Amino acid sequence: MEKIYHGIPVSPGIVWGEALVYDPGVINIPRFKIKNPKEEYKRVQSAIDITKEELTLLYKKTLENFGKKQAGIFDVHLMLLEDETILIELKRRIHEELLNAESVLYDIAQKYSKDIKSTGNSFIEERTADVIDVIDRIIRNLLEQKRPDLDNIKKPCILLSVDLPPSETARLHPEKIRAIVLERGSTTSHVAILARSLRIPTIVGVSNLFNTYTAVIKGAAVDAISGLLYINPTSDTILKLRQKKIQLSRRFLQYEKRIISHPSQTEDGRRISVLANIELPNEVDDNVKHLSAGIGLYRTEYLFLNKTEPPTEEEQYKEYVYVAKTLNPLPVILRTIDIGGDKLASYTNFIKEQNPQLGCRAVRFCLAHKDFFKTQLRAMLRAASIGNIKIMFPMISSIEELRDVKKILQEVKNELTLEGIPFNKEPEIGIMIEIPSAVLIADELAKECNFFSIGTNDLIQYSLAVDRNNENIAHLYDPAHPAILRMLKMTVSSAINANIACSICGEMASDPLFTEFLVGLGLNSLSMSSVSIPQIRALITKITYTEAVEFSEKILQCASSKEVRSILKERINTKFKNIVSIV
Amino acid sequence: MNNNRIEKIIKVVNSLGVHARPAAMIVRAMQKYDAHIYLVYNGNRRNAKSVLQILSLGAPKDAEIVAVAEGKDAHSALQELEEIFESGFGEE
Repeated sequence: MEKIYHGIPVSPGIVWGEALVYDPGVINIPRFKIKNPKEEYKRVQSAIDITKEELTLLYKKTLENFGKKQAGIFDVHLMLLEDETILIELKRRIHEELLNAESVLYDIAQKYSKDIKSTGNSFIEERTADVIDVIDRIIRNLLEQKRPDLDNIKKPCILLSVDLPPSETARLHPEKIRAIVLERGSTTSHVAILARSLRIPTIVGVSNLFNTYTAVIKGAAVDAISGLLYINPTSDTILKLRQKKIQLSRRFLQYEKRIISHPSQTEDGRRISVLANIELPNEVDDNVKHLSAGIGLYRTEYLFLNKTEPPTEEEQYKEYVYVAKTLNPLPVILRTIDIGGDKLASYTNFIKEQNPQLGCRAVRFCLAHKDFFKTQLRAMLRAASIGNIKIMFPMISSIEELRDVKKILQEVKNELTLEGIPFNKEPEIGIMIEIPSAVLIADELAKECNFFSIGTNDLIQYSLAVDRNNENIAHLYDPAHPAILRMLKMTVSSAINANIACSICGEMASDPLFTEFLVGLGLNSLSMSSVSIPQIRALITKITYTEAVEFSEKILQCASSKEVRSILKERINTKFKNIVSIV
Repeated sequence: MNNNRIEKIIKVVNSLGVHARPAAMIVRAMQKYDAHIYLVYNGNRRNAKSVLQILSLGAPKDAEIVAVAEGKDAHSALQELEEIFESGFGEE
């Protein structure tokens, strides 16, 4: 029977086909007395052998697809599999206590995770996940309950899961994963951001996906335009989706043709740069090359994720140079790492925080780990001598912070000069405006940097005190809140008064609902994931700047978000219907 | 018990401490010796031939670990162990 679920579409597309439930779930560990310890030990040995084969395969595949660093983790998993401690304890307890292997393994995992956690070394603590992971694999093999491996997917499929951590997401292959549907997550979660850049149609926030379905899943259809998931879709549904898909691709093609021949400007000739946000160098695709005016936000922390140790200066340098060279002379804005918060890399000595979003992340982290920070700045300054690179600092909340990072930047320049290594002595320096305090002192900050980029995702989260990943309050995360719109206005005005550039790089920049408002504020640079570029560029050509200015002023008069939305929607429906009905 | 027992104080020099990859390196190197090899840190004594046990030491940068080896090849085992620690496990 067909079942329909609703969620939030975060990366557009329409796909149907086989579904894969990636839900390791909770396994019930059976605990019972055994009669024949020899047989039991043999049974667990063969489960270990199977696990070994699995992990060896994972190691090889990861090595092939992602390189030695990422594969390193499976090497450690393999060693844990042969660990004396585990084997001796297994043998002893099976023989002495006549306990089944599953329960002994479970106890070992519990005991050592507790031990490792009690050391108080948070970096090593992270490794309990590996211990549990390996033991979980053995137990699953004992119980013959396989866990689907994302690296090991043979046929392209639609992935259904409760959630995916960033490191798991970073290993997704767009050729294998045709669509992603998650019970958790939100528009701005990292799964969403990465899915968009990999162009995997994705729906998140599908409530009760795993609570209510009882039907055997034969297949699924994903309409990540309207946010609909069909489990076991009927042939009628597929027919309907096929038609929708054909219509959409026709319209998109029309867009692209029109755009390439058209400069990115309003009807009355105001130039608006549409830039791309990227996470990884290989996202510099045709859309970015032909349709964008450069990279407005390169989130460099993705180079640091899913690795057992940080990338070296040379490794970073190569990546930055590659992007800058490919796009030269277009600008590439490198943002220094925003590690911490929800993007915690596994190798940093990161102390678990009660409230990581308000914790030691981004420049705070960098100022506390200067060596780490300097390595990245060296790579950036060196790369800036080759392409049009600008450097941007995230999470600036005070003038002191800006001065501190600039001081370190100067130190790095002095070091490079002394070492006689070529670098760009005066690259443009900018900051992210994403903390309310930065908005309020934007006029002061503007005196000491070359550009602003407004990070609306965090700005909204911090201004409205809403955790964007908490489904219970996600509806309060509202870009149309008048407070947010006023903050945008303040920031843009401060930049204009100080005669520095200002762009916007949050999700709001890619939402057609806000385009005219943003242009009317005086922003002349919008940065977004590359999939959104064609639509926003098409929209810009239909905007009249003088009208947009008036329209923005009208919007800023609104007292409620409801009012804002109704005006924005009405405007879209009357003025931009042809372009925006697609979303 | 073999009376060939040696002790050495070994310092962790790499910035990330003895995490998973170094633990794997240590085990790989120590497995080829017959001697019993232990690492003592913060009052905990752990088997140097087990990744799991080394991880549960939780030794950060600058930690001073007492390495103990007992057996006929104890001397060469500790020598290699010391070299591995001094190399910072090939990290910074």
